[in-house]
Amino acid sequence: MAIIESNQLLTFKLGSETYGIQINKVREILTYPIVTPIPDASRWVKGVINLRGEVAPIIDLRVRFSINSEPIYNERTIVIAVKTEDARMIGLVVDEVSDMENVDIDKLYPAPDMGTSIAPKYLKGLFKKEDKMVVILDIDKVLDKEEMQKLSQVSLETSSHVLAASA
Amino acid sequence: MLLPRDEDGDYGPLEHGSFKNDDDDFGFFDESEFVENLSDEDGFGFFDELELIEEISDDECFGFFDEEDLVQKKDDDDEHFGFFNEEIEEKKEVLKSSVAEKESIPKDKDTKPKERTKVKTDMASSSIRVDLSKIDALMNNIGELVIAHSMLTQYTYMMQDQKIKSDLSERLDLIDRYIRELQEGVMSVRMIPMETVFSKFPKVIRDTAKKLNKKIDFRHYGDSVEIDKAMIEGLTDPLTHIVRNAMDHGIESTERRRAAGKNETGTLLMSAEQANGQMIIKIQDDGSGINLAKVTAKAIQNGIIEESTAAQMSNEDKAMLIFAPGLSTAEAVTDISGRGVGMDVVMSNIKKLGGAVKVETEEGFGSTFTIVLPLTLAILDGLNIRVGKEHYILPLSAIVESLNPEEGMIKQVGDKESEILMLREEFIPVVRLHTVFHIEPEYQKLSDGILVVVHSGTKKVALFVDEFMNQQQFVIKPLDKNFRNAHGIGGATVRGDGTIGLIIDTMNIMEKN
Repeated sequence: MAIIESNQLLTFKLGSETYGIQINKVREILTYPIVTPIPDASRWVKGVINLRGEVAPIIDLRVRFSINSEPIYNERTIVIAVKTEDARMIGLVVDEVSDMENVDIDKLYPAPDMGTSIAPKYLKGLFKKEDKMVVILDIDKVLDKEEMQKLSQVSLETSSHVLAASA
Repeated sequence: MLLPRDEDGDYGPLEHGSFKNDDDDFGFFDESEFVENLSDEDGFGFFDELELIEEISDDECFGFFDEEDLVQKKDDDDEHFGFFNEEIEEKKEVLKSSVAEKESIPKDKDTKPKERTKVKTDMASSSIRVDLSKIDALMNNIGELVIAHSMLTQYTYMMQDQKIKSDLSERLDLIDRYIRELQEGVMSVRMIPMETVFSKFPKVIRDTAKKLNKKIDFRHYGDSVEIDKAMIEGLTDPLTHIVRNAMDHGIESTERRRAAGKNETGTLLMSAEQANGQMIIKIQDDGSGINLAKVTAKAIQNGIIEESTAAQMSNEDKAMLIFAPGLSTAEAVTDISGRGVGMDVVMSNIKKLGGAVKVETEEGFGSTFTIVLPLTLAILDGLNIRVGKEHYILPLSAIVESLNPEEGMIKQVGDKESEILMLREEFIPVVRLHTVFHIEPEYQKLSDGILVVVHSGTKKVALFVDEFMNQQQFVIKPLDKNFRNAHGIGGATVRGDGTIGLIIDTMNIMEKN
């Protein structure tokens, strides 16, 4: 099935780096709401919120990709609500939303094997904007259902192991 | 049939021709009308009529078949006849209507189903099929409306002007009522009668009974009790399984039943009722019951329980062993049941629906399976509780009682990590919610907080919480639609302030501990 990929990007910042996601994945941009924590979730899953009548998890990409492990949440914290290919609504916490960009999605630079804080398998590619590199996230890979389930459980185990070891 | 009953010998041989010859005298026996009215085959029309007349005269004999006699007889029966001429007219009427009645009687069997189909088509024209997701979407919208309403209500609390404040509150109450009515309306759309579930069983039972060569009388009650459509899908399989089991293992063969002095035909009852905001479905058979000794022996053999535990178990607990995975006491594996997979699946399916199964059995007299389900998967009455800084929701239907325990009531077992609440004659395991949910509680000592005794499947568990809050209705939303399920959490809901509340899954809260 040929899907015409959107060539409009929403760019946002995680730490000092600029990232982009395809605009057709974005449903809403909201300020950080009151989040209900999930008891057995890992640190990057902040909890769940009510997003248009659905219970949607909030994921902090900064913690997820170890860009900032102790972020501050206030009324200026931004959440981008995205909808994945398999129709899951998920909120992503980012540092700031920057701009909209038009890019030709077929003419991206391939993601480098190293040098980015996010593993290449989560990236769609790079593009250049006024001498700055913008990394385009493959949101469906980042939020892959199975991987998320596995990761949130694994990280819980490791954190309890760490606790046990330190105790 | 040529002639009406001849037993009395009083009927002369009556030929078609001779009868017709007397036609003129009959007057009201207008052949054409009769033949039309009475029969499709005109020639034999009057035989029907004869039979009819016979009936009218209450089977009394009359020597000659002529109208005078007939009328005489009729006269005897009801004495309103004054004049013959009038009689004729009346008689005609009586006969006609009787004929109509008469005709309608043998046809009854045919007409009834026709009527039914007619009713069905009528209903079909005034009802539509709607995708469940559309109703869910409506429900979501109402949920949003509820939240918007409570936001507005909260806003009025901050208003300074008392007049406007009270006026506004009044109108808000009105909206609240309408929202509730709307919510109930949408809920009722989701509900369909239990008949839909029951109607599948007669065939299953007939087929299985045939295969097993048993005689089974199936009866069901509570057809009009309504159940959430979403629930039915998850309910059909477990019910079928229980029914098949009851037929295969429960109800004995005709010979054995006769030997036991029972009616050859076994009875299988299925009933549905609503009580205390719960749906109760019972499947009852009058078979041999569960052989508890055998089940227990098998459970010990399969390592499901220890011999020492078995000795302490009540009969009720022993019967519940049939729900353990991998347990079957059937000597032979048949295609109906006996593979040892199934009853545990029944249990897990029912649990998935937020319900519980119980079995009562008496050897020689049969077993009763009781399935308790929440009325709907969409709305729940819950109690807000607080643990540390977090709030959770406990389903009201699960709560048995709550208490502020004294230290003497708590016994520590083994590694001092497991605590048991001694409540009257019962020993109830204590679950500290703050440990399950990894949060910092306000109170560490059990005697400082509150223990809420809840049903967990067929057992009881005492949950340790810091505080009780208010009671409220919640619209249940799945947690795993966008994320995944969390341990001890059965679902989520949107609270009045727009945040998400988590609903505690009392069924599975023990598992990790």
